[in-house]
Amino acid sequence: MVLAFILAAVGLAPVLAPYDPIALNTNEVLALPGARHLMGTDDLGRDVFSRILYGGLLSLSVGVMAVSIAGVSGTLLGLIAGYYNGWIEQVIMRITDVMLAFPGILLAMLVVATLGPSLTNIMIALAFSRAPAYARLVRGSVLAMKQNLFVEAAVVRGCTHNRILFRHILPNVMVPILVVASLDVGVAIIVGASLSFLGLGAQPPTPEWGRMLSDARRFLRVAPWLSMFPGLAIMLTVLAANLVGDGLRTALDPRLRV
Amino acid sequence: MLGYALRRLLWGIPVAFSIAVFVFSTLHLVPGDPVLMLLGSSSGLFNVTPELIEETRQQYGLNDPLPVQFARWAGNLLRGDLGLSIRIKRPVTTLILERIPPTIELTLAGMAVGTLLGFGLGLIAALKRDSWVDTLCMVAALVGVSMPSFWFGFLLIFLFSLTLAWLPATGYGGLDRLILPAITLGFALSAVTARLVRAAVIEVLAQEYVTTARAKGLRETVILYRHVLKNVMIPVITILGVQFGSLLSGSVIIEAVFARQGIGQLLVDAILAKDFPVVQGVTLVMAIAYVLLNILVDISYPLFDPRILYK
Repeated sequence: MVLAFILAAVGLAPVLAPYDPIALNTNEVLALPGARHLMGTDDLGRDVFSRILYGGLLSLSVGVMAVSIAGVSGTLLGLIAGYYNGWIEQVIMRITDVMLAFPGILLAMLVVATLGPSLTNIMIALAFSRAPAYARLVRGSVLAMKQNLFVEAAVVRGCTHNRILFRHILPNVMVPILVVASLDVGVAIIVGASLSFLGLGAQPPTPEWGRMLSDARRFLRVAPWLSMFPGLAIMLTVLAANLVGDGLRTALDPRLRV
Repeated sequence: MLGYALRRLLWGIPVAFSIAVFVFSTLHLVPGDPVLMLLGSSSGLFNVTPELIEETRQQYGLNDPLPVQFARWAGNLLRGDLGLSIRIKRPVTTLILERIPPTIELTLAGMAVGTLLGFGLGLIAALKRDSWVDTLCMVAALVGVSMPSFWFGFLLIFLFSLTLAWLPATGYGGLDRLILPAITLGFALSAVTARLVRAAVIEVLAQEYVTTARAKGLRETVILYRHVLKNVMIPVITILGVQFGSLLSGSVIIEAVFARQGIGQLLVDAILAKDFPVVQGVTLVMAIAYVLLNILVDISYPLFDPRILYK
């Protein structure tokens, strides 16, 4: 419900936003939230409500895109590693070992350091740093799945490797991937906003939530609403994503219930 | 026991080596000429002549093949030399050593806050299972997980520094400057820990030895201390080891919020200034610290659960 509401509001940002998110208005600097500006204006007179709506579009698409790329590439690598044993599995697994040895957002920061700060690079960094988790997960499931009779039957029937992998094994390992991915979107949104907050992501005047917060920091005393609304927006979006993820987990796999 | 501990520590060596290779190659696969970046960041792009480029290449040994460059870097690394910062022309090792105390202080304080709070909430929630207390704790935990830590820091600054004027908002040094960052960092951890502790306690309470203890007529508090808490420790210790990593990287963000001059700030500044030797050094040190800590967690298991035997 909440998520649907957020998605609708953000998706319709260009229609709903009462003002241009990057248009400056020097007559209305740091205006209080009110009828004219629902969430007030920032230090450059930009309408915060409009910026939040557009920012949501960015934050959500970065989160969803990053998780999709990580999910698809990680799954492919995991399928290959789990299905074809031998050196290829060793190579893939050792690389994921090393990548998973980096704590938290450090790997993403390393990628941003290499590519340079920008919103696109944040997305790449997030995708890159999350992919090994999927590879591990999928490899484990594939190894277990290969023991099943239906896989053996497919081999006997003379199916090609590709057909066995994508028609027989993949559908059976999809559930945990979807659950992890749905919970991951929330993580990706927070990490993306954190990196932008640090100045490593969206550059001004892009209306991105994390960036808006770091810009608002100087005005915490005189204009606290500048800090409240983007933070609330992030929290509600991530909360909604987490609730969907939790729900999906309970619905799809009772064994995973904590 | 000792043999196991030693083997685990030895196993850390190839991991540390792979991390070093990984960090080195990531930063050297940069599209574009690193020399131009070096010169661009230190002197502006205006007076870059081909001679200057060649000279810088020689100076940093960038004309050698990558494996040679890596060998040289790794050799210096073993002697504790991480190279020279491009931006401030000082040894990276010194820079890191200077910045480590604020970060360690923050990480440990955050860990203490997060563990105590998380353990308390999780335990209460599990003991009062399915009551309003439980629901409240779990909703708080879900909100805690969903809240960006830097924003929570803003809220604390706004309340305790700007409105109530109880605590300073920024800086490093003294307990009063540690409280707000530690709460900020610990809060996110406590949310994760609370959910885990709750699940673990509920699982242990369903075990037969708890039923036996109850049947023996032991008091609930005795059961709790002697039977339940001991068995809850293993999953909790594991998750704390993993969480230490997110605390370490979380401190990067918290340091930015509270303007603490820790290792995280050093890293962010270095990334923004394209100061690659510093980026390389800091990521390496943080990753290796994390690996070491996980090994220590592995070694510490038998202290909490003698059933775990080492082969």
